[in-house]
Amino acid sequence: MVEDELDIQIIARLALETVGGLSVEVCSSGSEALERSSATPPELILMDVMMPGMDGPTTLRELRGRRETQEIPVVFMTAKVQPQEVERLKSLGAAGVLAKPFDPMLLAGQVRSIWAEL
Amino acid sequence: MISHKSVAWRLGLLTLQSAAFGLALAAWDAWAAGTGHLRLAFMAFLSASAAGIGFLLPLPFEGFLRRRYSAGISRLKEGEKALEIARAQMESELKEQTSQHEMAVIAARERADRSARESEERHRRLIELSPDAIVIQAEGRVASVNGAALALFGAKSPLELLGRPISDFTPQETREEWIARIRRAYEGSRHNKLYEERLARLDGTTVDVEVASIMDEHQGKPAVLVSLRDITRRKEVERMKSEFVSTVSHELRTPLTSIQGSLGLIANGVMGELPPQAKPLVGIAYKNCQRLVLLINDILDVEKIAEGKMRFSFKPLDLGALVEQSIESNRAFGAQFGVTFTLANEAPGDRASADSDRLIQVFTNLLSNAAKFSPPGASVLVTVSKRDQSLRVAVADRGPGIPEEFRKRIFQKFSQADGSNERQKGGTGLGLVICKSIVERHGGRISFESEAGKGTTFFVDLPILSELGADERRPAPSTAPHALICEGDAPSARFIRMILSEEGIESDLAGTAGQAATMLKEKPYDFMILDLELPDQDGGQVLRNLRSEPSTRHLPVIVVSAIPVFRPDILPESARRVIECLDKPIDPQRLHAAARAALEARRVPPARVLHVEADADVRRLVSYTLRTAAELIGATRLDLARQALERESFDLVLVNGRLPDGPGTELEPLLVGRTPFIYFNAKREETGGTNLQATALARALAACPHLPQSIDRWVRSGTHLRPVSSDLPVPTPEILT
Repeated sequence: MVEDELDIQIIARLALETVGGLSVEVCSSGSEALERSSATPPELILMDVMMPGMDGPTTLRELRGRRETQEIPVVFMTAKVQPQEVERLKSLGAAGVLAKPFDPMLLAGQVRSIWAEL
Repeated sequence: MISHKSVAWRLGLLTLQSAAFGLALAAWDAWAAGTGHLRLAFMAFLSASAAGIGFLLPLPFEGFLRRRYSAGISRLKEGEKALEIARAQMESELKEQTSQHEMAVIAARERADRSARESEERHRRLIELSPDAIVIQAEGRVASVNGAALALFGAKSPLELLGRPISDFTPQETREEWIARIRRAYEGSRHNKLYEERLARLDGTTVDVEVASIMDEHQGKPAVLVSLRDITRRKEVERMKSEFVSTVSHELRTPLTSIQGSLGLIANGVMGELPPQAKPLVGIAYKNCQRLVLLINDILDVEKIAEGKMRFSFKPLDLGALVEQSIESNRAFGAQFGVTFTLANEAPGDRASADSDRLIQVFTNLLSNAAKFSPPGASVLVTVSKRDQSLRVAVADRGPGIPEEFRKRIFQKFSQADGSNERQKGGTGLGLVICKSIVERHGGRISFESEAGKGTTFFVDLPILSELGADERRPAPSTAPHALICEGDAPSARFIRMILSEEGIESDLAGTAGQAATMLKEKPYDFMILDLELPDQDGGQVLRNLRSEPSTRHLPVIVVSAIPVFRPDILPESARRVIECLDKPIDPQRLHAAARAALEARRVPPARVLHVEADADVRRLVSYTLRTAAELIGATRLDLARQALERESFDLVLVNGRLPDGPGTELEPLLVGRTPFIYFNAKREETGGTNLQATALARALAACPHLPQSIDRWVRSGTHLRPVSSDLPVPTPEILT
């Protein structure tokens, strides 16, 4: 999971691990995500769109440009869930788009269902 | 020396003269108080007599004569003097009057000149003062500009603009559209609706402008007056506002994500069991947090709707299935209130053109409202049914009903029935506003029925999507009234069709004026709904074309228009038989009423009325007032009226009592016993007592909104000059007296 807000990191980790039973690694920035996923590629990346420095879409492009990471499905989380924005993110190659604020009890289920559709 | 013979002759003459003089004196006495002209005539005569006396003075008879006539002479002299005074007085009076008159004429002319000059100056100054750029263009070229136009185009002198084609200032991509609009203005279209345009300045930069154009004249040639307003600033503000709302909502959502997430995890026991005192508090915090999230989402939706940014993707959808899907996803929500949903689908497989996400949003809102307001254990009944041209989804709850005073405000922003009780139900007060906008964008309509203590039912009516070949499957040609809907906007057309179907009226749709013309040739229609903003032709032109065709000359027409400034009274002659002019969005109640009136008008062929009236404004006014009931033929003078009456027959004649070539009463021999007639504007003594009541009736009718019906009834009754009925008010109308 890539998220710059520490509070959201904690909640999302709880929602995914404690509620959803997933195993989660948390990165605070796009560049950290690039570095760590190149070293040990995760099965799926859940990433915030608006982050200082390298934002979500830029990070996605970088991931797609590297052999080790180009196949990893990326799901975005965004507070801007207007249809145009969702379409834009999908056209960049996102596997799915989830709305913020998310319901911690449902987040893992939503991630799993996107995963299942791949 | 004078001979005796000549003296005798003179004496004879003198005798004659004195006799005449005596007569004259007597007459003078009698006419002393006479008019100036008479006095002048007498004066001339008396002067001649006096000359004769003067001639005789050297004669020896002088003393005798003096004695004999001294009294007469002195009276003559007095008279002469009086006459002289009178003449002088008269001349001076005449002079004075003439000069006064001349002065008055000169003053009036000066006043008129001055006021014309002032008016012209004022217009010039107004144009110069206007913060909007004003450009007069004739024959496609700039003919005149004001100061603001120089600034807008970035010119230092008018010479940089004058004579250049207007297309020089429009960016390539919108040039054709621009020219088409200008052309429409040339053709005298009333489409001087504001539109936004991008303008190319002299330095090549562009500027956003709001444009209004109207037909004008320049040096005797047709021209277009164009007003351009720089809206760069407004655009900027609009962009900032939209950005602000978007940013704020994003910035609010980020902390909300943390709060809602934390509370959600705690409230759901993920972090372990809470102490019993803490649990309800966390629950309250969590619930209100969710409410805040919904509110932000709704505000964003309302913002999008207001800016026309809410996107819809319409697809043919099975409405029943969509409702079922909405119910399924709201079952859990209903369960929180102990409420179940029951679906009765009476229209399985029937489709509507809809955006599924948006419609689910509508149904979710209605279902959750129904759940919130139902007593625990109650069932909310959802029905999908087919009506003539529409599909209806009804959501019926067993709640307390909507308070009477709140019903009018229910579709307004942030309106919730007052009282903390209702507010505790949650919700943002925006849900129904959003529902209404979404349903209306589908060409549908949302409404409700509510009874205190019994419950509320919300209805969503959507136009049914007709299957291919539906026409063939239709049973024998129906006897239902038939309307042609000529409307450029498909959702609006479907909406109108749905409303008409509620009146039992069948309708065909034409998207363009061309299509409508073809369809009107193919079969007869009872009336037509005409959108003024058609893609291929100006609505006013369509109306004129209709009136020039014998088959559609009397076709009742209901005009619809998105232009709020549209005024029926400025429509030309073709406004005849225009039943109603409706602004968009269309009010279903008014459309119902107009449709009924149109059908009524169809049954009754229009009466032919001869209107003898010199004043064009009065003719226009009466023509407009009578447009549904009568075809008015105008005559401006008595002779023209006589010609018309000899040439053809009329159901009614309206006559102005005073016409340029004589009193209206002169037409009576041609009318009495043949055609009913009414005097407008006639004096009591001109019409005689018998017509007074008719005159009063005419006056009453002119000021009365029921004039068409009354005239129609009157004509049909076949009676002449029927007296005023007691229920008619007889006001003193301002217009026709």
